[in-house]
Amino acid sequence: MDTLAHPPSLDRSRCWHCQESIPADQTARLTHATLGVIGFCCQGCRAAFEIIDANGLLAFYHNRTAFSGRPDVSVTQRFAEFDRKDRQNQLSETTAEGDVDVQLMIEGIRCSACVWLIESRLNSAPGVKQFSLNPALGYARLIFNPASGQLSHLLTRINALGYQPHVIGSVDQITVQRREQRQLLKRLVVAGFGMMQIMMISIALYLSRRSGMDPVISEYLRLVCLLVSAPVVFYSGRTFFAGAWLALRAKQVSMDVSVSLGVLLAFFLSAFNTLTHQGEIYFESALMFIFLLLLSRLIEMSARHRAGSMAQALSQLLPNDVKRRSGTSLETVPLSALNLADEVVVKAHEIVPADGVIIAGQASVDEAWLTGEAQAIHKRCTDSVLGGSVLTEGELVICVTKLGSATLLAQVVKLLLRAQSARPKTVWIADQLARYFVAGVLLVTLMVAVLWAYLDPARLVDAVIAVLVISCPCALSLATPVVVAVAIQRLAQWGILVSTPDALSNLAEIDTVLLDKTGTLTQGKPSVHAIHLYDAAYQPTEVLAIAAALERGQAHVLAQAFRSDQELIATQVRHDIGQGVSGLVNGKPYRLGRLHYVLDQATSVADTANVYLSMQHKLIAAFDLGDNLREGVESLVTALKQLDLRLVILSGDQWAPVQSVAQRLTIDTFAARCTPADKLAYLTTLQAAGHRVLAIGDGINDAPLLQAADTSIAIGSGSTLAQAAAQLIVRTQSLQQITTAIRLARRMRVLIRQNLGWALLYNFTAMPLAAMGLIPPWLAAIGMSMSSLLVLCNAWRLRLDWAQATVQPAPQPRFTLQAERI
Amino acid sequence: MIIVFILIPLGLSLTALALWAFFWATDHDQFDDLERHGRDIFEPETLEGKRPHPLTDEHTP
Repeated sequence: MDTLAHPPSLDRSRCWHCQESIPADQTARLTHATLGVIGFCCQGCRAAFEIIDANGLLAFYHNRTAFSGRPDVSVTQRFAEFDRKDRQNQLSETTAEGDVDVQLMIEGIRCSACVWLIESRLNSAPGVKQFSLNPALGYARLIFNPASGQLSHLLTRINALGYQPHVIGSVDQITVQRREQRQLLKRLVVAGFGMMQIMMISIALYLSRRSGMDPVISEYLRLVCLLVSAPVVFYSGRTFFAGAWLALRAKQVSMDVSVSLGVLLAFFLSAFNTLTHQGEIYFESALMFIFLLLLSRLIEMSARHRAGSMAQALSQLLPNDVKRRSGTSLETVPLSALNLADEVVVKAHEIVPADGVIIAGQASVDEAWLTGEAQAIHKRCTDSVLGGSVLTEGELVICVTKLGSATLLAQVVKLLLRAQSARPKTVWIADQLARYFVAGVLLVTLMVAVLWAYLDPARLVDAVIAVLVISCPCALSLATPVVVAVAIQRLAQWGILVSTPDALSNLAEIDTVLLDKTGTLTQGKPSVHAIHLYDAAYQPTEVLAIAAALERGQAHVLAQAFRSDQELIATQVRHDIGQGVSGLVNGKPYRLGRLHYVLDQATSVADTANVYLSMQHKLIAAFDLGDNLREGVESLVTALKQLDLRLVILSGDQWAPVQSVAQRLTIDTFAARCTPADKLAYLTTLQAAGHRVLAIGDGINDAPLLQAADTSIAIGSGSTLAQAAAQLIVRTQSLQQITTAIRLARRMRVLIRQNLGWALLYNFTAMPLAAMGLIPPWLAAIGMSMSSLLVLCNAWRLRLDWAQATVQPAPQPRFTLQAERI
Repeated sequence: MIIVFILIPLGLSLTALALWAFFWATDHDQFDDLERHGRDIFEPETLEGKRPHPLTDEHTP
């Protein structure tokens, strides 16, 4: 344990934990068995050390590559509110086992040792089932058992180590983002001001070479340049130095390494030349490089934050106060005090606070936050409304059916966050590429330096700086993520949710579309068109009542067809996916579903109807169900064909209705009476033949297909959203958006290719020129930054193009969500 | 040309002043949202105090 005794980078005269100086009157110190007397700047640091020591985690001090933040012991109180049941419901989800699932953002993570420390500390805490931390984003997912551990205790545990945990969904996240953005803005402006000063002086110095200048004055000007650029380089450039340091400590090379190397080389060489009154100075190149790099980082960050603020804006859509009706009186209560089945009054221009069913009144409701359609929908009694929608006119009394994280709004926010925190494969590949590229650049630089030292030592520095600056692979690593972020945001505005970032690149590749019929092409609200009786002992109304009893509460769309005035009760109901339902009605065992399911053996009955009813394998009745085409399906099919996609209908329905739908839509390939297994088999054959397949379904009965397809779109309606296995979810009533999404994805692919192509082309042509000494350092700085800016602007085109190309009018800016629209 | 010995420090101190002012403004939320306030003027209801009180609203049933 000798190595643990003396962490190499630690100054013993300072606070052991945070390495800040110890105030003279501070008495917090302790005598440690192996480390001797240790001093601390405050009780908080001492407490943090004791926790770390007591848990045998002292290796942290040895492994950390940055000093810890000073823990704030006074904030324990702050977390108590997260234990309140209502608050927790708002911010978290409850898993099937009754555990609480929360997303956290942890501020103050500086290196991988921090991640290790927090993870080992939390995973040993009582009640914690799972805790995983993404070091890049600082996002963490915590699953714990509320019976054996409280959220406030867990948060305090993290806090006591000197990190600031934030529960996502609380306002805290904005503060964190704001701080990040402010700091970058300040650094950018400092670099900009400094650059302007240096430019002015440099021009004077440059002109003086011809006309001659008093050496006293020119030396004075060079000194001014040094004095101005020193603080700028070390204040504004710190972003890069810190990144480079972290990368080097992790034994990796990142973009920041070559940037820092270029900047520091230019700066120190110029400083040396200034102080020794000889040679060239490169202050202006160094500052310009910093300024332009920061500029592209700021743009990238705001694109990233914007995509995130979408989720943020959504989660803040709900009002704080609600008007609750109890009897005849009306009281104003906070949203958190609302319970299920409460009656809430919502008036014109107010926001619906929770998901619910209308019990009185009628109104026009704007669900733009979800569907992207500005047109308000007229709703009346027994219709359901979604939390976050706005009443444009009228007045409603709503019975609350879902609250907090159960609302669709909360589910959507979760999906957005999930899509955002996962990294698409393409981005990962580009990052890897950039990393190898940097290593290559450093190697080339070394060769260039050796070569020029041999040929012409006077031009060595120029060439080396130019190579380092010009080959910065920022454009390469920006090329993909910015485009993806812009695309995801654009789609969310149209009511299409992306649940994994890979979905978009997959969507661009597809050549075949598998369509489900029921609920996708048709409205999914079937009704019984005809009843054929096979058993004279039953009346049509009776069989309908039995069928209705069996199907009551089933999620399958066909279930909605059976409605009856007679209230029969079915018991022991069993649902076999894709087959049918069985259960006891009035003590008799009935089966409802496909012919071979209800009869279990070969039969002479022609299988022409949709659904059959049997008792003990004796056929009683057959039902013909009808379903109307969804609005806009014809134009969707035409548009999909224009995109050169092969369309296939796969349906579990009977031959005749599928055929009639296929004929009406002029789709040649279709298959009827497919079980989920049949659909999967068909999909696998297609995929084996090299096709890329998009599956479009309604989410529940197509779940296996949606999951297995290359990419999938679920037509979401309410409850399907949460359980959908699809990569994309369309919530709009009109299906036009599907083609728009495919076109956007293809456009995105083109833009990414352009970006990557440009970045590679630029780096590979500019580098040899710089190595040959043909590009002066200042031109290299401009060239590098211009290529990054070009890549960013190219990504921005995705917004501009589609602002005009949308079929529907853009939603009216009304509140925060639309405020994010560009 | 002796004047540059005065003018350049003067210019630099003005720059420093401008930077200080910018830092102050950034820390006082001036650059956080450049879009919302421009739009606020079209929305009288978002002004504090002008929002109709939920209980004194004349449409209360």
